[in-house]
Amino acid sequence: MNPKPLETGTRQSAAARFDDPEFGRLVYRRLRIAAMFVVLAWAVLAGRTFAIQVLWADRLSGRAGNQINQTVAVPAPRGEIYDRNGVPLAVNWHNQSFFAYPDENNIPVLAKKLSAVRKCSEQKLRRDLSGKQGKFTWLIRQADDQVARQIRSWDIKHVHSLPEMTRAYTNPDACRGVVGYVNTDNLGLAGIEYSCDKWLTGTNGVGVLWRDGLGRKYSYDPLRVAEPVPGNRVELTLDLGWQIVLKEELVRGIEEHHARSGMAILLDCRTGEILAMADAYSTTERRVAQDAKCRVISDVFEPGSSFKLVAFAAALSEGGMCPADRFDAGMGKGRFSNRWIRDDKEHGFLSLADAFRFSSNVATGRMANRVGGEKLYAWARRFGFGSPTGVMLPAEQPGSVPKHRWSEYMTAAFSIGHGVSVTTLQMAVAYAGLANGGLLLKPYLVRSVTDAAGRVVFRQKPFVVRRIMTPDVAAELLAMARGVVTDGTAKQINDPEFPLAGKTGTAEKPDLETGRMIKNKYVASFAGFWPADNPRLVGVVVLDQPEPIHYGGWTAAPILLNILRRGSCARGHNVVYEPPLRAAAPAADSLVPVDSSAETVAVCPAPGESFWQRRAVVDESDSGLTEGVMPDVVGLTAREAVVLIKKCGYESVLTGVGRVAQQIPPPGSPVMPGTTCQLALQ
Amino acid sequence: MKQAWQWIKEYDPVMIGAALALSVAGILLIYSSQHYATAQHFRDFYLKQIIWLGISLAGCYLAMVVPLRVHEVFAYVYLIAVCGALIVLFVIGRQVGGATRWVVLGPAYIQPSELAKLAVTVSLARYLAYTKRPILSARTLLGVLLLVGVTAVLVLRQPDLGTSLVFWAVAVVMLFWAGANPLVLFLILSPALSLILAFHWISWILFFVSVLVALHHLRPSLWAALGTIVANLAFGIITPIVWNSLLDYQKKRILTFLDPGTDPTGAGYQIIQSKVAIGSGGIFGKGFLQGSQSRLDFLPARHTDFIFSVAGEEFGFLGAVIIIGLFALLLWRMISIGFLARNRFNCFLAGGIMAIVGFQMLVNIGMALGLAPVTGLPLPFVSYGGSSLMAFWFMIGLLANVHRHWQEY
Repeated sequence: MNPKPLETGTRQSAAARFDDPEFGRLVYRRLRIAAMFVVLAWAVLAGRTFAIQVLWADRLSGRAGNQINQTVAVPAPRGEIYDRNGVPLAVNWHNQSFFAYPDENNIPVLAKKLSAVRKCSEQKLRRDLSGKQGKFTWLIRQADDQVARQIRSWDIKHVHSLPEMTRAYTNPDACRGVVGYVNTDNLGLAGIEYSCDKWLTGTNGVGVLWRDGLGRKYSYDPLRVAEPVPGNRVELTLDLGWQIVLKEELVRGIEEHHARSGMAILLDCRTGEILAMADAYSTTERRVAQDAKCRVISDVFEPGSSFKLVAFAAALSEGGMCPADRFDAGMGKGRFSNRWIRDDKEHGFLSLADAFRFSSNVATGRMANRVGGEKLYAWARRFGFGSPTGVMLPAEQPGSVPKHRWSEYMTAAFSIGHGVSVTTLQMAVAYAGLANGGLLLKPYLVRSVTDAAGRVVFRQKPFVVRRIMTPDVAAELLAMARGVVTDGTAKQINDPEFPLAGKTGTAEKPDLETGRMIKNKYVASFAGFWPADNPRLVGVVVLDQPEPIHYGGWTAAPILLNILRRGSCARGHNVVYEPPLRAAAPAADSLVPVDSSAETVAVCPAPGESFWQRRAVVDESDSGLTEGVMPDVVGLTAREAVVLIKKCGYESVLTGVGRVAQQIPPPGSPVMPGTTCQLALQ
Repeated sequence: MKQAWQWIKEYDPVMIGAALALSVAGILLIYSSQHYATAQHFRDFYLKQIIWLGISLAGCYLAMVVPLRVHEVFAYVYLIAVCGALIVLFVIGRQVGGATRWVVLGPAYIQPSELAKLAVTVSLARYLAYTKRPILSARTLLGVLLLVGVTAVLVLRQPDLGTSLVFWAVAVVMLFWAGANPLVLFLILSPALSLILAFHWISWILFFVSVLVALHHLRPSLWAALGTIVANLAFGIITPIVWNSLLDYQKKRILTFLDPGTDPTGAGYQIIQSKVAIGSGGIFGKGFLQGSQSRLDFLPARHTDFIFSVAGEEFGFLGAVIIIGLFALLLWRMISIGFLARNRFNCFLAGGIMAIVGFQMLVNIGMALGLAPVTGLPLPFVSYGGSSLMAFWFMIGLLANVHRHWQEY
């Protein structure tokens, strides 16, 4: 039995407890002090807790957020590139890369499962993984869907995946020059990938990752704060079928005629849409950098006779001449300002039409002199030579149409395409002007750009730059061009079943060092339309140094014929090719009225100049480039480095070959816009 | 059922309940703090703690039913045994983080210094209860010094500064409880305090003035007064001079010796992280298992030293106040039991145990709240650690026993 505890809290009761009442009273005092101390301690701790958790909560929470949350970019898929029929040309492959922090628990099972996927021995994997315990370790990079699904099905804890995107190209052989390519960071470096980079690049989303106290990422699937906006879909005017045929035939033609290289383009002459274009090298000439540019627009050549179009159009339109007018071809040679111009064949007097058909230099020279050099020059410019067409591709060359003191000889030489340089595209556009009844069209490659929701961001409609000749003159010239094929310089491609019209060209190649012409080295070209009576397609084929036959009519023209034949046959036997136009091809007269005297290319939604300017303004935000600071380009290829530096608004000067080994100013240094960066390559 | 309640009622169910609540909270918090760890070993901490709690409750029961006289008789044996264990520790102990604190017994890691707290408390209670001399006589103090000093030095040698300080805190509180004049106690302790405060000269001057006031108030013998003043001056003035003449690596060596777990520059980081964790919990907390700071390795030693921060983050101000409240309840019950006891030994035992629990709670929570320096003292009942849990539950058992047998002379 226990007596009940005494009432606590009174001095007497406390004192009564002990054998020594004095000590009891002492304990009572101590108790009071201790209780006070407990209360005090409680108050201090609770007060401090209140201060931290209530008064300073916001500040401390913010700090917690700052150290945990790591903002990361959720990569936006790059826009895809399609041909005119919706066939993909450039797409994204979504890959998964798997990684883990191996530890003693998961190494055996990882090694066992991975050995099947990675096709190496389990022992080796186990050894490798053991060496990386607790460290970030890639298990497999860029696994495709099947492998990714397999790995996920294992359901091993602490195996994480990161989505990765790689750019893939369909038919890279045929399309690479036009479509271009990207670097590892999905930054467009060439072709459409470069010029439409602004549209193709999506807006990265914002994700938040948790980061732990040691700076390791805690979760690998970021919480998405802002969804990524995929890049826009770019639809080209290119037709993959035509493109493949064109490339193959070009390659075959180059081999057949032992040419060093060649270029070809196919244009819809009613709209200016580029259906196909490619360049190729012979196997002996194949160069490493051949894919880097689209030579059809960035390489110029001396056109020779195919340039005569300008002179004939001028003569018929402004010179007051008609196709029947006759000129002295001088039996193969003619004297102009004490210099001789020769023909391949000896002709006496030739009508204007025959001069075109037989491509007589002398007769054309006489005719040109009647028109006059100044006018000829103006007409060349009017046909678009000497100025870029504004097709949406990088590095387009304007060519050169020099203004001379127009002596008799210079006028004649100019009229037969000597001393001028043009691009294959310019040639095609000029002939398209002839084929469509006299309208110079702006050629285009990007037909439409649509965003992920299907809204049209940009659409290129056929655009008439100016009228270059009246339909009558165009019709006359067309008849003359038909003559070239039926019984002129290109009569070997005459096929009643497959009526072509066109103009051949054969020019001696200039030696770029001495400025003289090189004997026996020629550039052969052929510009043709099909069908001859009502042309839809214009094609230009240019061959560099075909041997031993160097005439355009024998070398370049058959290639174009083959292209057109195969291309149209691929769509059913001899069915006339009808490009599936979204915007109906405008009839000649309903086209936008134009100012025929306008020298410069009129501005439309995205012609060359303004397009580039806008690019330069918009591009500063992405890829972590800081304004006013020199980017780090060491280790990049020259091309990547130049693009990057240009993006930051600086110029660059290169020395050496290879990759960037050194840059001045060094990366990260603050520099004024417009500064020139010196890059030493190695 | 009713009988069981009757039975438990005599053993102070409020105190046991508070301790049990803290232990359960501890298990939840340990689980929460480590459930996302990569190593299985860490994730299983809470299971170990549950097992330890079971063992501890058994120990508690043992302490409740074994007559207190037994402990009174065997007090010094306990102390000698523990000191023996502490010495053996240097031979067979397991070194973790530069300190030799653990003895491996099969699957269990025993920390003798936790058991030493218990032994020292029991021994001090025994010593103070039976001494015939005045509490503050030189002989009595010498005895206390011997009892505490040997153990404290052994623990300090591990090295574990925090735990060795606990012994001194217990000794001071028990001396006070046994009737020592607080002012005299203060004067006796003043040289040690001088040593600590010497690094902040304004505090030291204030402290020195208060020492002089206390001397004036007490008017001790001339020699005692002079001795106190000289000792204070010596520690207060000479220490900084000596300290500053030391080279950096020497200072660091001393600091690391005193507290190996704490890098002098890293301590600030730990306290900041603890405050950030607690502060980000706000009033209602982030919820169980939702504490990002503790989960993401920002909080150091989150299942042991900084477990209060986990509580603050996940259960907010309310949770933190409840934990502090439970401790207050526990301390109040301990004081009451000490007051209830009619036997000096029992009474001093209650005082000593209250001192340990109170001191460790104050230092640990104070550390988590940024009020106290970082020492490796666990939060009683809550922090992970079997030896500590066992020792504290044994103390609860002892006090429950005191409550049951309050009338024993």
